Amino acid sequence: MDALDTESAEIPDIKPKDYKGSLKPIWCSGCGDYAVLNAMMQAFAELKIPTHDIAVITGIGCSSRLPGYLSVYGFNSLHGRAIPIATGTKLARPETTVVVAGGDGDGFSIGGGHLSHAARRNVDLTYIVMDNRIYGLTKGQMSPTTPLDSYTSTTQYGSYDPPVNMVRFMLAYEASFVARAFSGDIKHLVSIIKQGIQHKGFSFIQILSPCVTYRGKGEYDTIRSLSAELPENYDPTDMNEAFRLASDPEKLHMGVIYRNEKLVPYEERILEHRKVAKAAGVAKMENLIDDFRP
Amino acid sequence: MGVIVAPDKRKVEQWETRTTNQITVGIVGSGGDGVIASGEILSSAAAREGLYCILTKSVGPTIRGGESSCRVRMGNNRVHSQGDKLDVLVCFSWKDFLLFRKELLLKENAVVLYPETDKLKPDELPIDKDLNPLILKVPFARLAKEEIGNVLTKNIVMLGVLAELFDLPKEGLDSAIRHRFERKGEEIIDLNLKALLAGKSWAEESVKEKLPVNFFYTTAPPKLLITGNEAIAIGALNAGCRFMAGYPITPATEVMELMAKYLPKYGGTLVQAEDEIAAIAMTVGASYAGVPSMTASSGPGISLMQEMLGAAVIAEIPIVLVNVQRVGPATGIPTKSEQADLFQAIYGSHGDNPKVVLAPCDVEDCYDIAHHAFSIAESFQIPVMILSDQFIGQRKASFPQLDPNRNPVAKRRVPEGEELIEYTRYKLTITGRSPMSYPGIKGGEYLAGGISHTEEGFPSSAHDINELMNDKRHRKLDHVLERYPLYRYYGIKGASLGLLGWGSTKGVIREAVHLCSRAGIDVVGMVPRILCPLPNDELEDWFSTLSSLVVLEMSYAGQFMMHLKSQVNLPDTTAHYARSGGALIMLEDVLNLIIEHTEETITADQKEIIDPEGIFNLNKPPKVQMYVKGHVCET
Repeated sequence: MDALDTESAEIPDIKPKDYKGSLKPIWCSGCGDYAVLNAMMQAFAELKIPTHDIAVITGIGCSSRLPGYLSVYGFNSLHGRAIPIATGTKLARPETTVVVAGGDGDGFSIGGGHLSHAARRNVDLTYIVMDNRIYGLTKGQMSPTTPLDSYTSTTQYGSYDPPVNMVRFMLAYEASFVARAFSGDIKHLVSIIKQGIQHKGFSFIQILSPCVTYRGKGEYDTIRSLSAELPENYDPTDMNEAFRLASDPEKLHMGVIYRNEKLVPYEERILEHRKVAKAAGVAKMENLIDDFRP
Repeated sequence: MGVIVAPDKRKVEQWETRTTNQITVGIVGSGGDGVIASGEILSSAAAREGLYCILTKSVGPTIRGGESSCRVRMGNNRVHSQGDKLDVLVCFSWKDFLLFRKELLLKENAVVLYPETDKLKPDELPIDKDLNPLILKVPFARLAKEEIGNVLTKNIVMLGVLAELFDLPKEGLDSAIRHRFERKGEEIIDLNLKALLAGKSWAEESVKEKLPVNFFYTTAPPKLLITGNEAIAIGALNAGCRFMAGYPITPATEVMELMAKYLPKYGGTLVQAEDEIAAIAMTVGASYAGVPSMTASSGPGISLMQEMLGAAVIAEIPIVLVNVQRVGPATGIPTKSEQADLFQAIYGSHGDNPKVVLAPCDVEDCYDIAHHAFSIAESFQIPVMILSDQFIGQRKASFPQLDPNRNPVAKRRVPEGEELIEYTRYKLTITGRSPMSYPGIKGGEYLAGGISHTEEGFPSSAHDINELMNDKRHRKLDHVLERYPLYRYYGIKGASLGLLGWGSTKGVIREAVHLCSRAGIDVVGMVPRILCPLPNDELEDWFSTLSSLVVLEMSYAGQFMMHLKSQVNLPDTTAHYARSGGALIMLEDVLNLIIEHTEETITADQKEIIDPEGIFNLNKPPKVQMYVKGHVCET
């Protein structure tokens, strides 16, 4: 797994449209995911990352279709399994910028078991959850973030499963970068995605990305009314502050809520570990078998 | 003191000492008796003096801390199976013995050693008295305590006693002990060498009687000593595997443990995943990024991996998946072998999903099969399952050498030059293979996916494209079989009776064929090492030379037989011996199958040649299901 001899990353003039794939998105009109796709292309362009050095890995769901609309390496995999696949990809080829994307159901329901481990390992992935608070692809069932008492096709008299607070969840597992953004504010979104990619370690970004089809056209206004900016002089390195903010029952604070630059990314730990292993002696591969001659 | 306590002297006089160049020793006791450690040391001693040996360990369901037993079979000739019956039994606790008694059968006139402090009298021991065993009460613990000052060395004292009584490899034991306790310092090494000596001296002074077994051997250059799980890992490393993700599970964990030691040395990465679903997903992700990758598990874990396995098939991502089978379903018997994951291996996951199943048939073969698995996976971009089992995976075996160059490894085709202009990831080709790009290659960007897709990788739900792509993926199997016709014959090709089995049953098949051929019985064994695709033509060509066939397997439902019936026309007369795992198929059973199903009439003289020591009951054919011209025939 030697470093790849890639061409220089110096690309003077790369534009968002250069990241556009040949397929046309088939999301509903008004879907928040369009903004995420555009913001992502904008962020890639501003960071000048060549298309062949990016892998966008997703699971299944409306939002997981995203890599099909890009010109980068993509993997539209299995429901809930984007994170471990991306972990393998990043470890096998650490020089690649690996972005994981998906929805609230993909990430926090079926794939929820992987999140704590990705966070504690601190693999250098940027995980973007397009949270539309509903299952869209299967046409409107309750998701893990659907607000209590919502009427969906599987909760005909109102939902009785309390929703998960994604930000608090990720803080609890010490994700080293936790942010929240909104499809309705694309400029802010670009900045957050860029910061997430630049962060060395596991970055989690909850993007509230309304589903107008199954949660109604009012969803944008609802999110907007719940949104709040971070308080002045907010210190994102303070875990207690971050928890307090994330626990606000009234408001959804937008921005980088927590950031810890001190945690060592997994890939670096692995490189250190390799050094230790090699220091203990490395036989030529053809002589490896002699280790088993008593 | 007179240590020979049974049988009476009169019988001792009648003994004819059996001189043998192969000896089987069984040891049983509780946690703390050092049973497994002594088996390890004994097998290491054998390998050090150049002997062939097999060490099998058997533990209770608690896996750690409870009762355990082990057996070592060693000698100058190749050891093919565990050996049905013991020449020597060392029993630290009869309570533990009862849990393993079916695995610890004695030969006639076997030697049984047990602690002098045991309350049971020799005639109260739960062993078959008709076998007329020589029973010795030995002060293992007293010698360890009084002469060494450490009761924990009683297992080493025991090895000293055995070495003296049966001429086991003494120099090998010395150096095996040195090696084993190297890290603990000279003091501990000396302590254990003294314990060995104490055992030897005691036996020399106290046991004057003629023994029923006399083992002899000649030394040879030291042999390798590894388990099947280790052999898979070493083979994988040599074949270029540089990423593994796994989750601990009995009896497969050793694959991962060895990779944990060696992968980082060769620039690779091992991840202990949070579960088997993540393990296979990481493996797929790493292979997608261009690095040969593997995962290993056992039945339950493999079940969790099924969905992703299908994704690897449709996305055409090479992975190697090791299944060290245990008894299922669910928890079953985690520490014992079975061959009942065959259907899961071949027909697992959903949808039509062609994949390759290889089955190593012994420890050494694990090394070769690991190479073939990577060759096939990487060059055909298809998941390959290595279907091993607990008996192969966890036993230790010695053999002379593994040549790192004997299995050339085929590599993945990566697109280059013009192929990267309008790169077409899933291009339809004759062999079904299309160059596979990975992140970092300019112009190679594509969308991999579990969704049905076009040649370009774009999602499509069109029937005609689905048909073409299914055809592309299935075509690979024909080409795999053409290049990797993996099977072995044992005995005389052209013989009229055939034995057919796979995986670990090869050991008893090979040994039985060898013994029967010596007696002039016309029999041949065949062991396919590729089970999917099955080498159908080869099998049918072979069947046409047979007048009858015996199929044997460790699956109650007879999965192998059902697979065969779906793939090939069986000979007109076929007998099927199928039974659950949990105990290995015995050599005696296979010998009886041959004797029962050969057209010849086997004379007493021939039986004498097959079994000169009178170890087996050769008048006890196991129950089989008979098929005549494909139909079940009541017997």
